[in-house]
Amino acid sequence: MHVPTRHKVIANCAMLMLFGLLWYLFTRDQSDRGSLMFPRPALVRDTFASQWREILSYAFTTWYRVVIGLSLGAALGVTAGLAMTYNRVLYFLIDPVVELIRPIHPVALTPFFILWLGLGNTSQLLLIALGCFMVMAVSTYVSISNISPIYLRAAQSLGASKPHIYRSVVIPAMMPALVGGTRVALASAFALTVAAEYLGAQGGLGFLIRNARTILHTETILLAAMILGLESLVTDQAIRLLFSHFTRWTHKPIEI
Amino acid sequence: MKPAELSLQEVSLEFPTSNRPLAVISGLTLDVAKDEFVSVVGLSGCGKSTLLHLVAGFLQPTTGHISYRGAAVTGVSSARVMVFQEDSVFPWMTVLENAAYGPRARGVAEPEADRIAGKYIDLVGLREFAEEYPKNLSGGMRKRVDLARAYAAEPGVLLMDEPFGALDAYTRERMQVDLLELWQAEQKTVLFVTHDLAEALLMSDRVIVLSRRPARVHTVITVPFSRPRNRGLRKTPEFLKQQSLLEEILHSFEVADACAHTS
Repeated sequence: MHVPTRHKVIANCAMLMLFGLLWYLFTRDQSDRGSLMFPRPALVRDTFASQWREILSYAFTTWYRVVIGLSLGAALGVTAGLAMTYNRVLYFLIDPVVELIRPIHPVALTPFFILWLGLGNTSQLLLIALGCFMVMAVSTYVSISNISPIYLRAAQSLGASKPHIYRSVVIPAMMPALVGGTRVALASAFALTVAAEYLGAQGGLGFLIRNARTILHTETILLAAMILGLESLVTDQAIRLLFSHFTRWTHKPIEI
Repeated sequence: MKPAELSLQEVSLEFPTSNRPLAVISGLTLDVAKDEFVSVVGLSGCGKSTLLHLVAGFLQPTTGHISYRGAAVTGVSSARVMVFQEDSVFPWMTVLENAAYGPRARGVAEPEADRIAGKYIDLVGLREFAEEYPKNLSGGMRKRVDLARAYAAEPGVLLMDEPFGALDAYTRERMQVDLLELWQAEQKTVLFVTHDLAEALLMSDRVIVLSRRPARVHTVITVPFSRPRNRGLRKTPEFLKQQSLLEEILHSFEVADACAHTS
């Protein structure tokens, strides 16, 4: 079924408005205890109105960490994935390291990052990058393994060298399968950033949530969570837009 | 006969299997002259495609020698470009970029590569689609891109592995005529694998009938029809006579019933 873009936007807005309305209706006559359990929209709005400078600056800090960490991790992860398929020796060198570290959640390694690199931005960013690296390395490797061998054979037969095949066949052909991996990496970048901020980094929405928690300021927590959701949504859309450029040669997915 | 451009001497190939080696090709000898169009036919599973993969350099013979212009074939080279049955046109490149692939791969500068590509795109009648992505083309048009790309790589030998096998009957006949015209415009040494006997007769100077597996040359038929040829040839009594001759040879293999379990 084909749905015009305008209708999709209307449907999305309607759903969000419905949620807003339900939120308003269910919390309209709440007690003090009720406003602690789930604050009404007005409280959240007032929190934003009074602290918006600080909150937006924290929101930017979080987003900046996510983007830098993801970019760094993705660049290294894609490189590792390419290297693993380029050369069997590299595969046997990189694969066991990736498979050994991958099951360990990067948060479990936070103490080491803090011990080695301090509480500063470097240790945060490396932590996030490590998580994204694992996702991207595996995702790149799988994407390349799934490229139809017929393209590689054709390129070889037409006289292309291995580096040329990588530039002209492997990298463009892996793009459609890499979208999923990149979006998963983005989600884990957000999760890791908030976790890192919650565990001790200065600034950011995770830091805001931790501080608000100690004084039971639930409207701040709810506001921070909403901003996180919004940031994640916008960044995810940006990634999809970027990939739709790289994969403009593919057929549009069939709408059922 | 002109000196052999491509020469296969007593070529054999065995694939290792779990219990004992499987002989796919056994003592196959074949010479192809420069600018000769040679078709290879045989029952399905008899080793036709494998033969082409050997000549392309994707596989190495277990024994025997393959040489091209006197030099041994040891690996893949753009001197022997392969056209596959499957659609191997790069979907992420435009028609022009596809056709320019061979020249670009060997380091020809972009304007010159585009000029060579453009020439063959014109020859296959796709000039107005040069900037399109393959997703916007029909199967027959993509096959023409494939032919233009193979020609633009300027190989000495074109290896075609049932190139029109995946097309519908009508498109296939059109493509045969188009390839005939392309070949007439620019002659090339062609080794053409097909299971379509009429196609083999229409296109070729010689038709090689391979025996059932392990493959060796069973019969060689020199096609008596003058060039340039057109699709009308298919209807002539002489053509039909040659075709039924080939059919009978293949039918005799099927009676022997040796290849059937592999098809």
